Amino acid sequence: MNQKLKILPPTMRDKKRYIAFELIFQGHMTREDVIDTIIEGSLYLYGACGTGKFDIWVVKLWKCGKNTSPHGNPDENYMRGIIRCRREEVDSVRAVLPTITRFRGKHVVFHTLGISGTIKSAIKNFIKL
Amino acid sequence: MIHNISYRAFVYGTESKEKVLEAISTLFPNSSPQCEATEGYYKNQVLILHDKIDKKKSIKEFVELLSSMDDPAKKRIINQLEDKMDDYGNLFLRFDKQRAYQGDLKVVEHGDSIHTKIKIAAYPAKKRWHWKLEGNYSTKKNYRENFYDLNISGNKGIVQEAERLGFAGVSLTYNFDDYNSEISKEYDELKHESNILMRNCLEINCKNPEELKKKVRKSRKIADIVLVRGGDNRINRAACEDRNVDILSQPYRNRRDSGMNHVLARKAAENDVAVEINLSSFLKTNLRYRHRIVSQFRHIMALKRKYGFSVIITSGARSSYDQRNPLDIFALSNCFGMTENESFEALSIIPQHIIDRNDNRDNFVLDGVRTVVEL
Repeated sequence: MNQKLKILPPTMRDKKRYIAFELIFQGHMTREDVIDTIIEGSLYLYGACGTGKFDIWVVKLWKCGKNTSPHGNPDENYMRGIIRCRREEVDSVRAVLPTITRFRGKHVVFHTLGISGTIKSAIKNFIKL
Repeated sequence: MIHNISYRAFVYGTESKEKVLEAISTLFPNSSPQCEATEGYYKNQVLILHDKIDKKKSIKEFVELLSSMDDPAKKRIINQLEDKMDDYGNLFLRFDKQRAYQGDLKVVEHGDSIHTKIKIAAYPAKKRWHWKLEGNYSTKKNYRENFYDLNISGNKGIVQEAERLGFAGVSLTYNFDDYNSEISKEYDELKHESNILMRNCLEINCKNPEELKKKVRKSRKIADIVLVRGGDNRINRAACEDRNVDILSQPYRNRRDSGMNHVLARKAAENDVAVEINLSSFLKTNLRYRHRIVSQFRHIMALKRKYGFSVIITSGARSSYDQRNPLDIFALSNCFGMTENESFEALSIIPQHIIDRNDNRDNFVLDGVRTVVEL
């Protein structure tokens, strides 16, 4: 039987940080695509060894719909999201986002909106939907 | 350790040039100063004797002379060191002309003296660059106002995006060969509409140093910032040796090495030519070869730390997709081995210095002197 592990005591848990980001893409992107793009970017920048230390994960993603892009182009897709990572590696993870330039041959750009200690405050301060 | 010493002494109408020369020879026995004739306020003739000493032997002799001064005099200099040094590591000392003529050294405050400017070799060269980031910079919103991107090109959209991302100023880059009155008019309109600081920058693309010299001279008259596209060894060198060049762009372009060595680094530091780290060259390179760009950037930074030339980070953006948030650039530059202070210098202090210098370029009379108010 697949038994669920007991939750670690707080002192043993990794300290986390939440990076709020926005992404502008010329086509359509699903949540899986965003995860793949970020992980791939991290693998190219730091390799498997570096990426393994980050505990990187896309927690939430909001699609803001068309005509919301800050570039003012109606064909672009604008999304906002939150990435979780280890507190010690937050700067390294932040460096991954600007290195992502293309997805399926089309332009994509990620900008960090801010860093927060909880999902709640990340939404309140940076996602602001 | 001293890089160089420059001095200046005035010969007023009532003084004899030979005697002032003799006074100078007490301080600098091997120097043969240049003479410049000027006119005083009352139309009296004033001669200016000046020279720059960068020979190690002469500098050593001068240091020995300084150390032979009596203890109270030395103590006085040390106590006033903070006031007598500027932000760029220059120590200014004035030696009494009359006493020097008698073979004695005395540091004075009044103007009738031999003015010496001693460039101290230090890293970082600029005092105000000892700037320290306290805590997490992402929380300090006021820092956002100070970032500049000196190499972008495009239309209104790209300027607006730079503003949205938190840049305080941008410089729009145009190719020197394509620049004409229409483009100039377009730029003026953009500048008028934009809410952030804007400057125009001419990118010079040339094949040999002679062509470079001509183009730099021409573009200096029409552009705020002059940028030379590097890559070729001779062009890199010529750009580093030209004081009229502001930025040497991508010295590593199409090369395996970084395009910079100790000789170019020293020249760039002497002539205040900033070397550009262009992010688009990193982002647009195939993923398989990005490691090469990173190692080139690292090499440039290693030379910068030793020789103290300026490095700036620019996005090199040609569309909104190439632009990045300044704080993301901070994080990315960490991969190139840059510290937070170095990134801040490269993205804020040095671009600001380049803009300020070019805004005041017409007012500069000579090194360290500029016209404040014309009477």
